[in-house]
Amino acid sequence: MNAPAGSAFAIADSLRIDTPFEVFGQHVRRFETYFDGSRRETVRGPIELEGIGLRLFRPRDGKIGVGFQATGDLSPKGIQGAIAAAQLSAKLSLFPAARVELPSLAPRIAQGPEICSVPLWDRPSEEVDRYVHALLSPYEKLRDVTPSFGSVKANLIETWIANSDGLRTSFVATSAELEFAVKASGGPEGRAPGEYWLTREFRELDPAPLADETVRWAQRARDVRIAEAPPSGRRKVALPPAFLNEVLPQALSVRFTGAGRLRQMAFEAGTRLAAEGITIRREPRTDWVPGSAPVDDEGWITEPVPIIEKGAAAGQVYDVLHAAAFDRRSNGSAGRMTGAGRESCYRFTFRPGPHLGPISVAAGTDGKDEELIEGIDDGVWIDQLGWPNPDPVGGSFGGEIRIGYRVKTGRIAGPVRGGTLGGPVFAGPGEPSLLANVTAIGSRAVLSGRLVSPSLVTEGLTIAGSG
Amino acid sequence: MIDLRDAQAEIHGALRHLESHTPFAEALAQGETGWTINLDHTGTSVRIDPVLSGVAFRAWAGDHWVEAAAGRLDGRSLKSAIDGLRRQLESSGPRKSPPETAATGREVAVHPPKHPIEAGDIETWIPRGEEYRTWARSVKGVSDGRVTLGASTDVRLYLNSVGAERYQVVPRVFGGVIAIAIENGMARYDVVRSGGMGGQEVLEPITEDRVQEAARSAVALLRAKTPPAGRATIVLDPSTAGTLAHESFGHGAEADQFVRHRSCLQPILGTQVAPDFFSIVDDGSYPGGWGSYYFDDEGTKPGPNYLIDHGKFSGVLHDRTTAAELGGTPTGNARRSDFLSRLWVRMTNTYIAPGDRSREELIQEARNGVLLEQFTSGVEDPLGGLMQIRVLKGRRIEHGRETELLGSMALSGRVLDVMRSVRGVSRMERMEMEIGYCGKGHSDYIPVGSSGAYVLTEATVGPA
Repeated sequence: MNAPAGSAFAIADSLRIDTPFEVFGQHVRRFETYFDGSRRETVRGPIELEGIGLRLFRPRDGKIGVGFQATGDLSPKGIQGAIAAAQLSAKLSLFPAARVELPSLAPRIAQGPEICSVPLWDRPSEEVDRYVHALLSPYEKLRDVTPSFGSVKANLIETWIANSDGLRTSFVATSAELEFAVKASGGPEGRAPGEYWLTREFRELDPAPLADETVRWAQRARDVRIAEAPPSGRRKVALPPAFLNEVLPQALSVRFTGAGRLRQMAFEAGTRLAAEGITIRREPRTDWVPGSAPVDDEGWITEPVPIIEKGAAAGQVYDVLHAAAFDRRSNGSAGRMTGAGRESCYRFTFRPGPHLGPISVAAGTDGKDEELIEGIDDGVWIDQLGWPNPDPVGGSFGGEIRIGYRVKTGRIAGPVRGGTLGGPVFAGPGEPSLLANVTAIGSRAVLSGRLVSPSLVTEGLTIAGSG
Repeated sequence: MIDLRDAQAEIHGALRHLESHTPFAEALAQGETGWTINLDHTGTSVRIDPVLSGVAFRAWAGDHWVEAAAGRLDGRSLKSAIDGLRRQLESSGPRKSPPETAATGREVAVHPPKHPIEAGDIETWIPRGEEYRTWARSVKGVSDGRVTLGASTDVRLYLNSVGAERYQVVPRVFGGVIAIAIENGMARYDVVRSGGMGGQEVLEPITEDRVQEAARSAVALLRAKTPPAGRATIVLDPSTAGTLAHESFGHGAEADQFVRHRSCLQPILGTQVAPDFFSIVDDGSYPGGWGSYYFDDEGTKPGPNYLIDHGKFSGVLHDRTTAAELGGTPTGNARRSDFLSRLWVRMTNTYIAPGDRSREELIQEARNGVLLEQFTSGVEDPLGGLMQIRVLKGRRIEHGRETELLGSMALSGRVLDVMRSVRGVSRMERMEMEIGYCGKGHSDYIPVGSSGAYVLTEATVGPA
């Protein structure tokens, strides 16, 4: 699918600015359905926003004044206002690099991973309705588990990137978000209802996996009702990909970037941070992975970047500016992060920075999940925390166990809930951490959100049970 | 500054196009201007807020709401949104009446800050930020001080098909200093922050003493001990107590959770849930609060709502839909993040009312336990009745005295157990509303305030 020629190209062609500049344009359409149980609560769409982020680089005193302004007003007056505001912020900002190297090579229609679902693009409302139906209908057959609440959201995004070095590139993408909770109740035991609450991020709305997922989610909700408190202490914990997706991308998001290096927080290459079998890479070109793209948010062609190789720090991700600060070239890792407040699809409203994006953890040789469990004498399989809240500076994470499973002598012994799990994700050499104390790595890496990973078993974390 | 009233006639016209399709429609136009300055040892970065303004339309479709939004206020963009809404209305089911109590009448509120921020103030704020950095870096062992200063003006215009008009201008200011210490690959930090509705006066709590105290704390955290793991007697500092209020009886008392039958608190409304000296309040009209405003996004005025009043679970937070379904009254808690986001029942400024004990008395009474300080996040579990709070640091309490410094930790507990275990709440001479952003689920973040006093209770804690 090709993006139509965007206004960002025309705007870039018309700019008369005597410094390097870049125009990042987006047209976003969003469709959302919210439901309460099986009842439609609110239907939204189209939610439509078009705009550009204009960035310019003004050399000053051996450094660069970086100006940025985003605007949804694409009239000539609006563009002039954006230029004036960007000039003002360039005058007041200063970044420690002498010159920037902007990309110029990407084709007009960027080629790369599959990231646009044609059915979703062509029929967004119908596809959302179809997915919601497929999501809710299996529960009509269940007596004890019902949908609690949820939402399905679809984004159709056209992106154009142009710069003063002649780059004119574009691509289209779809993305979708699922938030869903199921509730178990009834039965003779009189226990309070149990709820299992999950979020997922996709590039396409494929209802096929829902048949199996429904069974699994329903069982989780039933298990919430009968879960016991976990034991206290440092024990082996098994962490599946869905859990690791909540922890690793954010925990590694500062100190393994050019921004972390500039702030003297990055680890020297070769520093041992993880168990020998752990290899982590930025993988921005995998089909259907959220965050994958043919070019990064500055227009550089994306490429894999090693972060941790065989347990040792291997490198950082760079955007144009942070690469310039170290006299090197960007490795295609610029991302526009939205932070709290605005939905992540409206990327043009933010300036780019070095961004880890989708990552992979290499598969190991310790077998399927069942085999990992067989290797645990006394531990816990963690399915979900309330929120792990990874701290990308301190390197730790921690939260309340919403549902997990006690493992005794190599077998699942029953669900656990409550108490906390936490500790460092990574730490200095010799210090215990999630990554340093990995004792087993599953043989099959699967996609969960922005992470492709096998399940891991570690003994570097502490559980605080209520007993 | 954006004046959305320039587009008022056009938006009214768009609403009129919906008249034959729905018994009720409304529009919220919204725009924001402002800027943020970041300073650290790598340089200075000034960001001027995006020039974005738009409108969200909402219409009653018989048994649910439908919405559409436009990112511009010109006639073509409004028509595109209205056309989308009409298509949704045409495919909707049988007509029932819309929820009662739509706002009516005309009101305008423009907040007058004590010391207003002017458009040309950005340059004068950079030296202020550099001064904050100097304070942090003056402490031995601090690697850097990262400063963020920002000001914004949120402008909202609410119109509906029964004649209501609400226009409000809410200026907010925030500032934060993060002192960072790095040693042997380990990075630790502490923070001073302040924010609220108003002008330059909002930054007055960021003082040299406080910044240097945070800087010393960051250095000390490099040597902090690992927190204990398990059930403990705990004392929460005011920032953590505010998060307790938000996550415990805040989310669970949002009435949309009642309508969805997913609040474990629903069956116990009206019962005693905590000691009689314990109260939790949500107040969108709290003077200068980070989560304060003049009208919610259905046009209702906010005010103090007691969620727990002297230990009794006494109230919930409503929008007009939940009020109609549950027989209540809208409480001024219907909020959208912006014109791109949907409307939800949300908290505003949520706090635990101060008590009559001293901090020292609570530490003594704890005897052996943990003091939790400087919240970083919290998460609710409305149906399951659990909650988690994460803090940056704490102190071990031994024999009624504070002893060793502890690193970051998480608190977990059953809301009702934690409430029933409360043994004391301290006095507070001056309550400072903490700044935070709250999501509904995992999206729709909005500014909320939280605060409280020192609270003595019990919960599970562990390293995090």
